[in-house]
Amino acid sequence: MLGNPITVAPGIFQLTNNSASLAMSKSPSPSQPIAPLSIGNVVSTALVLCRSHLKTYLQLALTAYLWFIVPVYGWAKYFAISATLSRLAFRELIGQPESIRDARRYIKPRLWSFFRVAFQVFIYIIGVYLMLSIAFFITVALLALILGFIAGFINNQILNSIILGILFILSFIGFIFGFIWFFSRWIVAEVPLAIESDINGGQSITRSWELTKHSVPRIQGVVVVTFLVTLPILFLTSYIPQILLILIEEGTDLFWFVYFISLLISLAGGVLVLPFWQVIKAVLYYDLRSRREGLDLQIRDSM
Amino acid sequence: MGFFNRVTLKTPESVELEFKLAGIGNRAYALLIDYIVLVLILIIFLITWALFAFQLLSFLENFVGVNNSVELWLIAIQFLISFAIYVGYFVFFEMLWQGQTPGKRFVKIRVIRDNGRPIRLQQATLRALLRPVDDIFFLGVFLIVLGKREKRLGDLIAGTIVIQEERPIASANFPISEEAQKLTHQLQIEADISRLRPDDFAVIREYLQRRREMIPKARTELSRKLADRVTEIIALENVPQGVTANLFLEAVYLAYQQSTVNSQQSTVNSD
Repeated sequence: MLGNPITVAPGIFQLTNNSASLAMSKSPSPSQPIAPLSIGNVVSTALVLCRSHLKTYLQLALTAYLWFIVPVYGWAKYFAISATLSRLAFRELIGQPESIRDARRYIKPRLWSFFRVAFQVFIYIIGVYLMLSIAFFITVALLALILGFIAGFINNQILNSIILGILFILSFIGFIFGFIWFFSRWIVAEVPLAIESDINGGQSITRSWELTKHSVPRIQGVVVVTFLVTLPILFLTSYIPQILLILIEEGTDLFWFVYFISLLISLAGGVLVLPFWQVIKAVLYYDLRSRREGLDLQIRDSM
Repeated sequence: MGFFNRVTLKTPESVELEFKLAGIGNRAYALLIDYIVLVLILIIFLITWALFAFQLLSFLENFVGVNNSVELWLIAIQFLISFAIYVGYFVFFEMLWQGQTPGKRFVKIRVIRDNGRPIRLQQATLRALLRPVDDIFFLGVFLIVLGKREKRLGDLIAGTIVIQEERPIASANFPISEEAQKLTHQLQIEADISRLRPDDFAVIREYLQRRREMIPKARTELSRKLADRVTEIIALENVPQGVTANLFLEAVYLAYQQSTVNSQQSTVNSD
């Protein structure tokens, strides 16, 4: 910070002092950055947070994964513990860290709400998938019909199939983008429930929908970059063991041994990746609220 | 909030410079963009080369007959040129834009030397040559994530770091209503604007800049909260009737701006 190295005698050096404070006003103090985060900085911030609380987050993630083996109740636990991770990260972001015990106490009564949110979003996503698939096939069928009509004029087999191919790819890209768009709107669905005290599961999903409006491309950027950053872990923990399994003859003792090991390694990979995604969601939620509600815009309380 | 890794450099003149390191997110994002551009360039090259090679081969066939070694040579040269494009892309742009490639420029990060100076040809070349090692086995990602100064192998050997560019604060470009101008004058007389600190002003400015993107309900709440705080700070006793929180904040913004302009002028005059 810009300290005041010389004691200024009032009256004489007042003006110099004044210009120093002017210089300060031009650059916001580094301790309090008031600016929405860029795509890359969302990911970097999440990583720095994960690194500084690695042990806590990994323990939580491991518990979450172990619960996942138990049907229904275990799944609810899995979602609730994942949400706990987001809550802890968010509290760090707003500068009011919370202990795990306090976070658990907050999350516990909402256990089934988290299950509901996950289930509801899952149903929505499936619904969107079906709707878009139907739309996609109708588009392709219509295009084929129209092209079949035009083809009579063009009379060139190769050209026709090229045009059909391009149109097919274009509508497929449309399908993917549509799907991604909906997916992005529900990306932080469970986070408001984990943080805001007076809402239920349904409202939490609506909050996600509202906050992510106008932000889909940025969220997509964050998802892609996060995936890229986790790629090495995914590669080491799930892709390589799977390649090994293909190479080894099925049914042998060695196969089952490697199978067991690869299961353990995949679990380790999941435990490493889960906190990262949950913290990413917390940072996204923080950033979205800053942009849409001015969460970060506060004027000091003390004079 | 200290959510970015920072690095402090000391120049020979004993000036301390602090930089925000780029962070894995920005670097992965920049790399993604660069690779997309690079692949496009390589595709264009390969198509051109294929056309050229095809022409050359059929030309030679007419003169000397079928020759397999020419074909092999052409493939070898093609690999060489592709590699040169791969390395050259990064070196060329990092030289042209002082440590930036199109991807880095887009995400606003920059390569500099460990001592804070712009990189030179040696560093850019070393980084580019070691890039395949860093990328193929994801060595770079692990090194950046685990290292304190976020250096991949190329950075370690070339002696470089990647930093975020300081963004100059964008000039204010939000509309201010005419009523606010009138209110400003009243505030300057009735309130003590000088009690507002630069930090408070920055918050008001940021609010006015960003309010258009906000959810209307949240905006109303926030503007009221900010206005209440500001009223307390500048010790304004009678808030004028019928003034909305938004209008009030605009007026405070103008009043503060004018008061700093005035004090600047008085500095100039006394000189």
